Amino acid sequence: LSGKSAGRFLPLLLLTPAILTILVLWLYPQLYLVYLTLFRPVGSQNQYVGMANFAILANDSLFYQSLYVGLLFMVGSVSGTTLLGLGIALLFNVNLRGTRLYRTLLLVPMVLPIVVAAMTWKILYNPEVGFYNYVLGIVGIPPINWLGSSATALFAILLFNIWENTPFVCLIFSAALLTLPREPFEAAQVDGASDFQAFKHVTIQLLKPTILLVLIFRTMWSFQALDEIYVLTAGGPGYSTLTLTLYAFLTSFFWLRFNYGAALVVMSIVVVGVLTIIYMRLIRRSEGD
Amino acid sequence: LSEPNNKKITRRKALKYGAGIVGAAAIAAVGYGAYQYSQPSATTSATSTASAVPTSVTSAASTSVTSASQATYPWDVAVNAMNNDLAQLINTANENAQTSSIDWMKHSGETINQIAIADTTNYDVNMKIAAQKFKELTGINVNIEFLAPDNARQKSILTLQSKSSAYDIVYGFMDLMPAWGPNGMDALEPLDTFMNDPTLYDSKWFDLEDLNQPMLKFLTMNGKLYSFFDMIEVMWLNYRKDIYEKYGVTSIPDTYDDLYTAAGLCNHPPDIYGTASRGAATSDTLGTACCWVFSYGGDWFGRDWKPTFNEGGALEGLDMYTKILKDYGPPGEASWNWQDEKQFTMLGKVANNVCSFWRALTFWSTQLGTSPDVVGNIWFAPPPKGPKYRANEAWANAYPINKYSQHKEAAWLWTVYRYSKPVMAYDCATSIAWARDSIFDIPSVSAVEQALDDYGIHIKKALSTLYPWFTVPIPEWAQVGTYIGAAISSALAGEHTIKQALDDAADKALQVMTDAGYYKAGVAPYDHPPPSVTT
Repeated sequence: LSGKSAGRFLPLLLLTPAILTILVLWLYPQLYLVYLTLFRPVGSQNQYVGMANFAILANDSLFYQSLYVGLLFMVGSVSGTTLLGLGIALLFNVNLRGTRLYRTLLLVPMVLPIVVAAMTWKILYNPEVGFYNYVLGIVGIPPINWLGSSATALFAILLFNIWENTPFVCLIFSAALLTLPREPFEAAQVDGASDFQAFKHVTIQLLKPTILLVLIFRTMWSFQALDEIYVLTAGGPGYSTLTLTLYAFLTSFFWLRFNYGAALVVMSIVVVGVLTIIYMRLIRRSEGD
Repeated sequence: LSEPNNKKITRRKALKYGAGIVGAAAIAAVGYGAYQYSQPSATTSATSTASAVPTSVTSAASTSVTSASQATYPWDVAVNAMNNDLAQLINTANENAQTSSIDWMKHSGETINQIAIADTTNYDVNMKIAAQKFKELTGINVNIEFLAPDNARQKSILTLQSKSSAYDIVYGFMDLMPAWGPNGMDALEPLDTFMNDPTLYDSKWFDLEDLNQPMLKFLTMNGKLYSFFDMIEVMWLNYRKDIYEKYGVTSIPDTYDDLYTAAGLCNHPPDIYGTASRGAATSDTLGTACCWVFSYGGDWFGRDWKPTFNEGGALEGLDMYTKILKDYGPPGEASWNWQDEKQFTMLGKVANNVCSFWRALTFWSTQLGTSPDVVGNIWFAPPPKGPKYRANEAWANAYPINKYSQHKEAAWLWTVYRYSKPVMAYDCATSIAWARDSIFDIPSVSAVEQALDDYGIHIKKALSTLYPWFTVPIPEWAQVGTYIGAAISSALAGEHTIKQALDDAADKALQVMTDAGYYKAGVAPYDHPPPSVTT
C-alpha cells in the first residue's frame, strides 16, 4: 500500500476493534432477539412461525396491563429523579455549608447492589416493624400497607427507584452546572432578571443538552427496571406492579417461553426507541424556538 | 484557653477527635452487644439443660398442647449422638463405595462443575465434605457454585437454554424439571443411560427402592428417571406453645376450622398475629396454599386438563386460605414469599401456620439466632385436615445432569456417590429433611424421632404417600401457577374476591392449556395421581 492508501485505511483500521465490539456485544444480541421471535419451541427444536408471537401478543391482556404499568412507572421515575436530581444539584451549586459531606452521602444508594438495597427497603416497608410506618406513627399518620396493597405498591417501588437513581442524575446536573458560562447570567442580571427568570431563561436553556441526556438514560433505565420490582413485590399484589420488563423476565425465565419473552422484549425496545425519538424532536423544536 | 495560639484545636482536629470518640463508642457498643448475645438467655439456658426424655406428647392422636414451662430441647443429646453416627458414616463412605461393582477411577483427573443452592443450614458445608471424599475415591474434582435460589435458577436455565456445557450438573427446581425434561426443552440426560452399565451402577449397593418412591415418580418422565433428590420438605402445622397457652388454645387444631378459631384466639396485633403465610403473586404461594386446595377435595385441573381451581373444593380451600390470612394475618401478606414469612416468624410474632421451614427452624433455632421467645416454644403437628382429606405436599432439591455436558459419566459418578446411603444419611443432618427411608433404621436417628414426638411418625407417613402435586409435572405449570399465585395475591390485597380472581386466572390458564394442546374438550383425558393424602 502507498502512503496515501495507508492513510485512508488507517482510521478504519483503528476503528475496527470498536466496531467489532459493538457488532458482537450490541448488534448480535439484538438481531438474535428478533430472530428468536420468529420461532416457537417444539421439543428441543424451534419451529418457524413468522410473526405469530406478535399476533399472540396483540391479544394478550397481560401485555397491555404490563405496558400500562411500565409506562406509569417510567413517567413517575423519570420525572421524580429528574426534578429531584436537578433540585439537589442546584442546592449543591449554591455552596451551602457541608455540601461535600452531603454529596458523599448522596452517593450511598449508587454504591449498594440493587437487590441488597431492595431487600433492606422491603424490611423498611414492613407495615408492622418497618421504619417508615414508625416515622409516620410519630407524626400521627396511620400505618400504610406499602407493598401489600395494590393502591400503594407501585408508588412504594417508585420511591425506592427514585432514591436509588437520583444520585446519578444529581451528579450529571452538578457537573453540567459547573461548566455553565458566567456571561449569560451576568447579562441577565444587568437586564434586571429575577432569580427565577434567570433560572428559567438561562439555566434551563443552557442545560437542555444535559436534560435530554438525563431523560433518555432515565427513560431507558426506568423502563428496564427489574430487580427492585421482583424483590419488592414480584409484580403483585395481583398484577398491579407487573411492568413489561418483569413480564418479559417471568415469561422467559420462569415460564421458559423464550420466544414469546423475546417478542415482549422487542416491544419494550420499540417503546423506549419511540420515546427517545420524541424527546429528541421536542428538544430540537424548542432549540428552534 | 489562656494560650490560644498554642492550644487551639483546629476544626479538622476537632472532627478527628469527635470521630475517634464516636468510633470507640461504636466498637464498645458492638462488643457489648456481642457479649450479651453470647450469653445464654433465660429461655435458652433452661432448655439446653433439659432432660433428653420427651416431656410431652403433641401428636395428632393426643391433641394436648405442651405448656410453655415444659418447653425443652429433649433432642439435644439425641441429636449429638445422631451427628456422631452420621459423621462416622461419611468417614467410611469410601470404604462402603468400594464394595460396589462401580469403577470409581474410570474418569480420574476430570473436573466437573455443578450449580447448587446456598442454604442457611450446613447444606453447602456437607456437600463440600462429600465432594472432598469423592475426590479421594475417584480422582474427580467437583467444583460446586453455591448460589441464592433465584440465581441458581437463572444460571441453570441459561446453561440449558444455550446448550452450554459450562455446568455438568444444574439445580433442578421441582416446577422446572418437567419443562427441562423430554416433554419440554429436552436438555437433561436420563439417568437410565448410566444405570444400565455395571461399571457405573450397582443396583444392589445403591438400593433405588430405598429412595422416596413418590418423589422418584415425579422425576421420572416418559418412563426415564432424570434426577435423584435430597432434602425433602413436607408441610406441618407449626405453633407456639407459649402463645397457645397464653390465649387459651387447649388443643392442637385438627381441622382448618379449628385452625381458624385458634388463629382468632391468638390474634393480638401488633404483638402477635394469629397466622402468617405466603401471598405473593408467584407460584411459590401454592407451596402452602395447595394443602388447603387438596384438603377441601379440590384439584388444579380436571381430568380433561380444564382448570378447576376456581370451583368446588379448590375454591372453598383457597377461600379459607385467604380468609384466615386476611382476618388474622399480618398486613402486607399480598406480597409475602416464604422468606418474608420466615423473617416474621423469627421475630416471634406469629402464633401458628402451615409451612415446612418451622421444623428446621425448631431444630436449628439456636444457630439461626431467633428471638428468645421463639427458641424452645415452637412445636409441630401434622397439617390440619379439611372436609375431605388431611393433605400434604413435598418439595426436594433435584440435581439433574446437563445433556450437553462433556463429562456426563464423571457427573453421574458424583451423583451416584452423593445419593448413596452413607452420604445421604450424613446429608440428613443438615436440615432434618430425609431422602432415603433407611435413615430411620439408624438407632440414633430413631432416638431423634422419638425425642421429636410425632415428627418421625408423621414424616414416615407423609413420605410414603406424598406426591409433589402442587407442581403439576407439565412444562406449562410455572405459568399457570403464577396466574393462581397472582389471584391469591389479588384477593389478599382486596382487589377482587377470591372467586373473581380465580375465574380470571382460570381463563388465562385455559388459554395456556388449549394452546399447548392439553385441553381439547372431551378429548385426551389424563389420569394423574391423587393428591397427597396422609390420613
